[in-house]
Amino acid sequence: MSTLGSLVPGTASGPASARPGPASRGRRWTGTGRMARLELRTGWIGLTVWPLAMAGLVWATAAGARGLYLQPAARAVYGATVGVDPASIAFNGRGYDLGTLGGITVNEVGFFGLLFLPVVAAHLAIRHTRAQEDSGRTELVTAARVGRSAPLAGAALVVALALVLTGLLSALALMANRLPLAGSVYYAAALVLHMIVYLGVGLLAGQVSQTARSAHGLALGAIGAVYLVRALIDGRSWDATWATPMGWLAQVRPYGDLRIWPYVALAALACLLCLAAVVVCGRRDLGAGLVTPRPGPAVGTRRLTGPVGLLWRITRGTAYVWGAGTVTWGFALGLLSQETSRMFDTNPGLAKAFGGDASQPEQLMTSVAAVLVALLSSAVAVQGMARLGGEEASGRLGLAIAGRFGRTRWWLSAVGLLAGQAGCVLGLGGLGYDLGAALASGRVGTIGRGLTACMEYAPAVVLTAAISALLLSASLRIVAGAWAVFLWSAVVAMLADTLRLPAWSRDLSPLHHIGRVPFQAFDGRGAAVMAGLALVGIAGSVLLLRRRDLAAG
Amino acid sequence: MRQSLSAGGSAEQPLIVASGLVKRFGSTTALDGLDLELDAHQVHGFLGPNGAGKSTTIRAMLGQLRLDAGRLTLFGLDPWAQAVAVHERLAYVPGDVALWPGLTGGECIDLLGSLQGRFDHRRRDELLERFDLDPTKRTRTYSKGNRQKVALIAALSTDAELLLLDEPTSGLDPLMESQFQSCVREAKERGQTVLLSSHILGEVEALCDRMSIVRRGRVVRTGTLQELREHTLTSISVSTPQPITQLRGLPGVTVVSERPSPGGVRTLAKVTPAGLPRAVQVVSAEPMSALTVQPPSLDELFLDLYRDDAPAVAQAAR
Repeated sequence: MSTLGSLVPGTASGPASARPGPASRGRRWTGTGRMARLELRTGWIGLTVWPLAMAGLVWATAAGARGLYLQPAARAVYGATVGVDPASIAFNGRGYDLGTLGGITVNEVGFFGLLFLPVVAAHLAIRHTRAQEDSGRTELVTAARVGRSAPLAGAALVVALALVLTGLLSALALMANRLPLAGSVYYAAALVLHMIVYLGVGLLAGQVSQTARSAHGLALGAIGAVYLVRALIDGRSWDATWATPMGWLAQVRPYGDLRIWPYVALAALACLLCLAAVVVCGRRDLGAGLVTPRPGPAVGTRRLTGPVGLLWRITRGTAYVWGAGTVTWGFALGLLSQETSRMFDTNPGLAKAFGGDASQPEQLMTSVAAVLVALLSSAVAVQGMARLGGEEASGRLGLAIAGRFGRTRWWLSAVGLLAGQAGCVLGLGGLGYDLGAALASGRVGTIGRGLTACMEYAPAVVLTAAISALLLSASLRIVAGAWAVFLWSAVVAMLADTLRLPAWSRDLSPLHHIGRVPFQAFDGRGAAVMAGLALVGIAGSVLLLRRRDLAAG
Repeated sequence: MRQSLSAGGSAEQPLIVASGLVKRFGSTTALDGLDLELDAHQVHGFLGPNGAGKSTTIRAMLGQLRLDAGRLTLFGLDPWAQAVAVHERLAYVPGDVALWPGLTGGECIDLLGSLQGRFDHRRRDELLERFDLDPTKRTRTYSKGNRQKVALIAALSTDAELLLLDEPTSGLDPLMESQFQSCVREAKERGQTVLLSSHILGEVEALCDRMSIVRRGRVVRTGTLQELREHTLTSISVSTPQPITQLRGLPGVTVVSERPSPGGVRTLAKVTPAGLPRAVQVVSAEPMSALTVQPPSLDELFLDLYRDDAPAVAQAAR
């Protein structure tokens, strides 16, 4: 605890009573260094664990690529299959220099580099700015000798530092897998700049929105939108890679013909976003965003007063956003469904290389879309559980169940509602996909395939929800562990082959037990077992919850 | 209309000057032409019902809100444009204190004190003892009252010229409340100025030299407690065989009711301070069987000011 010494300078630092002269005008940045130190002191765990996790993924990807594609012949097959697969190009971005191990590694980092790393960067930015303001701590520090922009600047510095650390570790991870030194440094630098762009997105979202929750929603929405636009551009081979920052990242080509302009463009965009955040910060009231909340209903209707009604009311905003996001996501993937068919038409041998049924080539895309929708749906369930934990921690749960409704009824309503929301997201994603696919192919006969594939994941999603429920009912402190289940499912779904994960570790992902429907056959027995386990888990969570103390209220 | 009862004649420049402050949040108007002056070396009470605009005013003084209209200066400086220069000279305690869950109470006090700047470590240790706070506990385990103590100790340990206290004692027990009161008195003796927003009338009565009462974003009264009392009404209740006809029509007297009672008539009248001598003369000339003369209690005074749209004085002047 002696680290606080660095936060508290000696009183001998000078007479604080010096009369402020005209030179004191502004001073928006006073205290930036101390705010940075405070954020480091109170948030160091997240600021070190995230860089380690992200660099660890880069290391595992590079190691996996090295194991699979050390032989030039294997690299040639990679270039002829994955390298031309529109689904892969849509998800990982355009691949370059696939004849080299470095190029393959960059391509394999693609998916999480484009989606996961930006999400982490934006999350860290919001966590250290708007979340602090939400709690009221920013009000306390800016009442002292801390300028209006200092908390923002301090947080930006600290998060940027964590991202640079990620880059350093990633460069080391790449070199540890004997990739060329120069290319590894170039690529790590590009990854850092790309993440700093989303640090800027997170900072701006934190300034514009009034709560950390809506800031997260805004930032995730922005990242998802950029990703989708890029996926469409890359998947349909449009000549417009310059249109998104995610497209710029692929153009760096670190292990081949290095290009400088993407670095410049990424840095410029990052500066622009941070500048915008600073401008908004200097103009708005503390605790407010740019949009003033509208007055709502003065009367609580009967629908609000039951446990389901109350839970729906507090989660419906998030549910609508998830629903709209999943439909859009599914629709965009559906638009890409024909690209795979086209690839198989021109090269019939490829279908066998992907290990599936060549008679229905578009099902490769359907299966990718279905597993992604299932991941989104799992996220809805996990996030909802974390939200319930928040209700309890804030004491609102204690208040709600001090009335007519007991714990069990409240809990079962909550679990049921969340499972329902997750199920709706599955269905909406499937429908969106079917619509997109119908539009792309001009045939309506295929409608229903995406929906069926998505719904087949329902037992796995419900099991994920049940695991989260078990964690939450055991203790409020470990509910965040449910995100580990989600993250692992995502890793297995997207990176299992890249990382050469052993079979037992793949089995830890609920989604993995369903099989890659409809490209591979639906595992009915696995689904039934998972549904049974989910029911047992939910019943167990009821028992656990009845035995433990409420955390607050 | 706002009635200023300020005694005036202060040689020093007021520490805080607010005139015509307006702040809107969307369609809600939080401050609607608020005027306030605060002289140095005083304890000034800031009272008003919930949502009257007290916290909004204090947050504007901290430069955390941008005003839509009006002029506000602290120490002659603009708190929005020169926030840090203003903050160097004040310390703030919010009504709802949020702390860093990973830090201990002692760390939070040192952090806040050092961010303010003029931190007196010896006084900090003394206050820790007086407020009976364990500084080694993580703030995660603190109750509302203990979090409030952290912010109070941090603020009271500084030699800031101005203490902005926004309902600082809403979570404290009576023992700590009395510690708080003696701390504020000592602060005043040291020459510090205090703006104390509070709902606890006993605290305001015990501590404040002057007070301002806010309602719907405006200051409806400013003055010493004495001055506030002067503008309130004394009730006279008298029982006489016959109605006192002379009482009606006296300046400053309102007859509220005349009811039949066992010995004749019982008259209830409200009288302004100016009308009191004449009214008592008239009443004492009657053959009365019972008489009570009651000044308004502090509670009544505030309830009137909080509640009433037509102030009592205006009513009596009819």
